[in-house]
Amino acid sequence: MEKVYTVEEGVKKLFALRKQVLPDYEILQGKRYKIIKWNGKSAPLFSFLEHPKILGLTLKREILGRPCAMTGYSVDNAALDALLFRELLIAENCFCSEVNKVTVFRSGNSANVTAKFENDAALSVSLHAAGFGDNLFKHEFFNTQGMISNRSVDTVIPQQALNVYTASGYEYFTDSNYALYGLAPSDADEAVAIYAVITHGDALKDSATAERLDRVVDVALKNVGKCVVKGEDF
Amino acid sequence: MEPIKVAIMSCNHGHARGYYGIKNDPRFDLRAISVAPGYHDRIFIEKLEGVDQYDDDEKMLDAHPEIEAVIMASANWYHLKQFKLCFERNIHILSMKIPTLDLNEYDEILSLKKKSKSIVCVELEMHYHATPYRVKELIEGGKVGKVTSFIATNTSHNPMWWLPWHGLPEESYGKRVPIKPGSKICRGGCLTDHPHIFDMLRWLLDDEVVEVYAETAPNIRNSEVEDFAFVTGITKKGITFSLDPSYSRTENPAKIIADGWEQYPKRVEVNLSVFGSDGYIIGDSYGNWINHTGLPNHNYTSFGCGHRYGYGGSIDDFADAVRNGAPPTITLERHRNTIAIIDAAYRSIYEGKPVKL
Repeated sequence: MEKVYTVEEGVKKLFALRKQVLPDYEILQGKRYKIIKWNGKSAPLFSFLEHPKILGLTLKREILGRPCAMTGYSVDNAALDALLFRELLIAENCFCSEVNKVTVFRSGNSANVTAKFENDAALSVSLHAAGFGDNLFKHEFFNTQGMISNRSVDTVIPQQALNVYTASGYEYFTDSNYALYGLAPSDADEAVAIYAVITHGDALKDSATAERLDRVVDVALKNVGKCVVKGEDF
Repeated sequence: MEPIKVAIMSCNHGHARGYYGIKNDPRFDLRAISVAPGYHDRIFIEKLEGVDQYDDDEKMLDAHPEIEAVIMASANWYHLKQFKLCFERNIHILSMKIPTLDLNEYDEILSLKKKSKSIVCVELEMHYHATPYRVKELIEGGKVGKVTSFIATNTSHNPMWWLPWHGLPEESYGKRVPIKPGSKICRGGCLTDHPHIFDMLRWLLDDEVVEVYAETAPNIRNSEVEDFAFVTGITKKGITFSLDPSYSRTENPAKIIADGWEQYPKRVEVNLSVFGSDGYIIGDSYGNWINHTGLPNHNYTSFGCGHRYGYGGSIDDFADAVRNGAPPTITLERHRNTIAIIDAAYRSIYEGKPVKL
């Protein structure tokens, strides 16, 4: 099996597997997310939504009932505003509803966030912009007919697929995608996101979502300790 | 690429519906399916509306002489007959994981294949998971030094409520053979259903088994086939191993697989560990799961998750083999030694002593 070493190689492989033509594309680093440009189009790249444990939260809607609330935490080597953007979008995707009220308490690189959505669902999420390390997260998503979580009951951090112990220490591996074997998990998410945006995406809708949530994040972080409300503040 | 004119045979293997997507796959032209008697209302054939359906394989192949390949998605006891039908017509075959557990039958199938122009791929899905590849790379890169021991589990629910042939020794194993002298439990349960760990042992270690010892235990279900098997042994390289293919995960009996059938903690687990002179690996190949308490009965349960747009696994290999002449990942010939280990494990349980291969 051919090992993949870069996101670009991964994208090429995903297109080649389906005998599809890969257009020229360019990835730009935005403030909170990357942006992809191809064939005269432009779209935000929400790679984190392609993480299997984030995508999985949306796969049992038909047996979980109406969304009520989500709690969780997210730590990453990313800026705090990018983390807030990410978690609001994850919640919107799970709730199928837009955010309409956000309250942020911030201390240094940490933030504790409460948000309400148009369907009355609530989000409580703690964020920490660590400046190092991997993305760690746990989400518990409560609905009228059940809850769904991306960590099992006694787990708060990711369980690694492979744990390697030698005299020189401990290593772990998190390979989860056969086609993209060799890529780090976040790179695999990005390769899938690029493929998804080019082949199945709705660039206009995603761009509008990004623009709207950028405004929410800007306003919320400028008004820490206050409720910011749709129609009044953003 | 010219679409491969294909049929699905029987449709009552648990993996069959995983291939229904070929109806919309441009590499394939799904011409017909045959349905095993008694399974019409269990196997989601409504998803194949518009495709010609038959109750008899021979009638299907006679009515569709253009068919050049089949997915043999049937109960194990039916495979020999279907191999013969296909080999006579030089039809290519994607076989499910157990071509047969009778080694004489297996050799007959190999002999018939030699006389035909058929390509045969065997579906063993662990070859399309990233984790075993990492384990193989770590072993071959010397990360754990000289391998001394290998452990793997492929524990699962028993699909017999949905697909009754899994609980019928004659249909699962091919005949009624007591698991031990005088036992009411017969061969055809977990050992028959879970060849993956036996295959991974050979594949990841690039080794062959020379001796096995196996035990069973009282069933947890009211079933005629074994729920438990614990297999130990040693390879040519002197690596010792423990393999657990047991049906030790439980399920809510359901005539048709649907939400509410799974029970906590998981319906299937594939763990593997490798111990060596310089280190060890402890792994979980099926670790990417989401937990929930949804309808219909709010049991705390889980389901596997993964990326979208992944590799198609066996079906991609099969298309590549049929149209482009690529070598199958798992050939019928390679797979024989895996079946021989399972056969030896059954004999060991029966005889109560180690069995050499």
